[in-house]
Amino acid sequence: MQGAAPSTGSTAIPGRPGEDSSLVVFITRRLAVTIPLLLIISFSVFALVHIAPGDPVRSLLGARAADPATLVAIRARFHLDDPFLVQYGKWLLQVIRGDLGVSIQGNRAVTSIIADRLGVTIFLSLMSTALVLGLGILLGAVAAFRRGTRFDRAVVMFGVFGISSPAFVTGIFLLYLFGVLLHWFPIFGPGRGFLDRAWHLTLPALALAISVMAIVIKITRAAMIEELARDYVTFARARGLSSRRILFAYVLRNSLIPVVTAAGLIVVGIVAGAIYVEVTFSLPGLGALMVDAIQKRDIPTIQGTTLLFSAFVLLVNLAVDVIYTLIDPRIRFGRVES
Amino acid sequence: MAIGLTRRRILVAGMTHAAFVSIAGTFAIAPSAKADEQIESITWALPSIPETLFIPRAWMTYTGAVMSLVQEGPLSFGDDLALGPALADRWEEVNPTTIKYHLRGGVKFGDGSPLTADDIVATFKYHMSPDSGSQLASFYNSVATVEATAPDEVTVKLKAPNVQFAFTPAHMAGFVFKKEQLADKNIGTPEVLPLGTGAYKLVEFVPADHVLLEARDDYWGPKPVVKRINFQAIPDRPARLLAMQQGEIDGTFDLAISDIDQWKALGNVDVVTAPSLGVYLLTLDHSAPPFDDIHVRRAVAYSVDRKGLIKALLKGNGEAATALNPPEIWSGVLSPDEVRAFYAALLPNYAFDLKKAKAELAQSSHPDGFDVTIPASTADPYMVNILQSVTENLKQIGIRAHIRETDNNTWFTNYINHDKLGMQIMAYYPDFADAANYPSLFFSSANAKKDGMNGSNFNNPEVDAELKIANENADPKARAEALKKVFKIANEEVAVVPIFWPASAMAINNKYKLTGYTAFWYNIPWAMRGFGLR
Repeated sequence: MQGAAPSTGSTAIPGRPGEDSSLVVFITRRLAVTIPLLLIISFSVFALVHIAPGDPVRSLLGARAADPATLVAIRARFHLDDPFLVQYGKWLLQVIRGDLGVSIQGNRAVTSIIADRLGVTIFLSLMSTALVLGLGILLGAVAAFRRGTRFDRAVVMFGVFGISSPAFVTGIFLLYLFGVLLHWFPIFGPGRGFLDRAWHLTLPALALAISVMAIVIKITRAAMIEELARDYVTFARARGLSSRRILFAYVLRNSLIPVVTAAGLIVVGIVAGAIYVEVTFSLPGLGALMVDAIQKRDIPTIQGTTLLFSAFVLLVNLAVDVIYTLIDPRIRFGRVES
Repeated sequence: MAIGLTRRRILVAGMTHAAFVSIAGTFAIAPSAKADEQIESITWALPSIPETLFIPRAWMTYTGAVMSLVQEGPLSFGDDLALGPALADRWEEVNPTTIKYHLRGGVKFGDGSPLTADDIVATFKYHMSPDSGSQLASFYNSVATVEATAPDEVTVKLKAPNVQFAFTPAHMAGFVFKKEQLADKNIGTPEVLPLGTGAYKLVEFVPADHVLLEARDDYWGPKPVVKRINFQAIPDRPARLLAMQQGEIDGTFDLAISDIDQWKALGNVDVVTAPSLGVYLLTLDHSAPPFDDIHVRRAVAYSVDRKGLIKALLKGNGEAATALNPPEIWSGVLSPDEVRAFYAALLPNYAFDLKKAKAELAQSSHPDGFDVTIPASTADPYMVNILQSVTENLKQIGIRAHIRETDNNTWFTNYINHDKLGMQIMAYYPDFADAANYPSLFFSSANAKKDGMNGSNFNNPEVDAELKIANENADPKARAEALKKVFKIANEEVAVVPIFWPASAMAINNKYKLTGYTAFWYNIPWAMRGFGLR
């Protein structure tokens, strides 16, 4: 994805107008590509739910015999007896009008349900991303700078531990340690208001971050080590520049390229990991919603959440490509190649 | 229910209104605590909080746990599971198809408006209208008309006598809505919180997260002990346990019995159990080979190690099922002693015996066994484990049984569609305690088709005739006789293979007590039933 971006960009600017407008064209073109992609994804998900065994209406009644007239009424309300393509068409027309339909299970507009849940997931993901990128880059950089020391080995070990234990396992461990034994953090709920929410989401964000941080540590460390060995660093040192200036002005900036390249994957990984963490920490977020909707075959909710998630993944990739060019203008729109 | 109606007739004949109210006060809504020990607030965990609090669209036990404190039906269940008064202070069976509910005076909704007979009629009609898509519609299938025959009187006319209908006004299907609110499309959302006549009113609702209730000062019944109840969703089982250990929650419902030891080990927690009235069973499709052969069915029945399963899975919190009906569900028809004596006399008793199982299979038309695949829901805490034991035993007698683990929706859709049934496992929990409920669902030929619960496709005209008597005749003696015949035939024919009757369990911080815990915790105002400081 990130490899394709510069070349797509280079074809996007035939006349080479000003740099700002070329960026706009680049983004516009990329956005235009996302629409057919979203269509394909939504259709595939719709088809998959359709061929999967099970029946959304049955979940409503649990293990109980239902009134046939009720079943007919509910099926009619959600167009469940229409042919597959008609169902998808009706759904699509609705979506074009900005309506994601009504949840079969929750009996509320899918947009309202998603809106209710979105805050928690965004907060959790942002907090976790900040932890992963902030702490991960810092640890990776320091480890590279002190390569071969005990600190370096400890950081690498921490990374291995983090990536090998899934977020929900780390979650339960953190809950027990900081929630039950030390009483520092609450055990459930998303909190109300900014500070309370940050306090409630610290453990979940940490659990999520630890499981992803290893990647950032590893990439940063490797890139830093590589950069530190380059000639320009030696020359900069020879010119008498301070270590701090070399580290921050040159090495870190150059080392960030591979981290940013991976950032898209990392952010998407965090949001995907949020699914488990939300369940472990009893957070009413989108992940928990999606899992529940799939179990209950709540087609409108499944469609709504996957649409949002796919749009998110596509936008993150676009954002990564844009940030890419901001960090190193040389690679903007394929100028490196030309 | 029959007990309720007979008791009702006696009362109508002889007792004054005032006398009845005082009795109702003691047997149905026992005073929970002394007036001076009011509790400021408690936090109660539930495995989930629904997206809507509108019961016709969110018919789940967890909706009931919240809404039973906010809304009431004309009747309610007592701690003995029998029918008692609630919004109707008396009710009478005018004839087998007509029931009159006489409303209590001075009852108000949470917004201060008075309860009228029209509200009850509107609620009942809402469920009855197919367009509303109410998930509780089937409870009103037998109703012909419902009318307000006086400002304080509601008359229900049935299409045909139906003894089981009497329970409908006592569980979630009977919870009364305010008529004007029912017309509001947004009812049940945080913007339009449902009103009720119960001891609490909804003050805050965040879908899927929490609900806050506040005690009402103008409630017609006893004063609520707890001022504020905060329901919090904690879906993860270990997280709920930690929250309890931490003291962040004061209690929770619906413990998995297999976790009970961990909850007991917390120390500051009382685990309260009661018969759930639920049943786990195997159904065997009588309409197709190999289970059309009675010897095969008997072989399966002998292969279930019920006592071992109870020990291993339920830690002893349950009972080996010798028949479909848990003993407690016979309440009002047969006394507990009579039920147990009857069950003990049922022969053969199919106690675990692989030798007998082998012998039965040898007599069958499949002496060398056969292959069978049994679907099981992974969402159920016991199904897969039960089947692991059962399939192992079946293999020893030569039946090559396999478990197909599926998600809950796939499992139930397959069962209820009656699509290639073969052998199935089923778990069922009732909505009310009536002895004819289970046999009607699982033994009647009317349910041996798509959308019916009779997964054995069991079809016996004599059983159908006796079930008709049990469902239409309010006389407990006649019902008992009819149902005994049904159970005898079902046992001989191996209509189903009952496994166990599990207990249901809740946890509560041991500074509090709750004495009125029953199988119907989600249908009754549980925080008003013996809840208080220890």
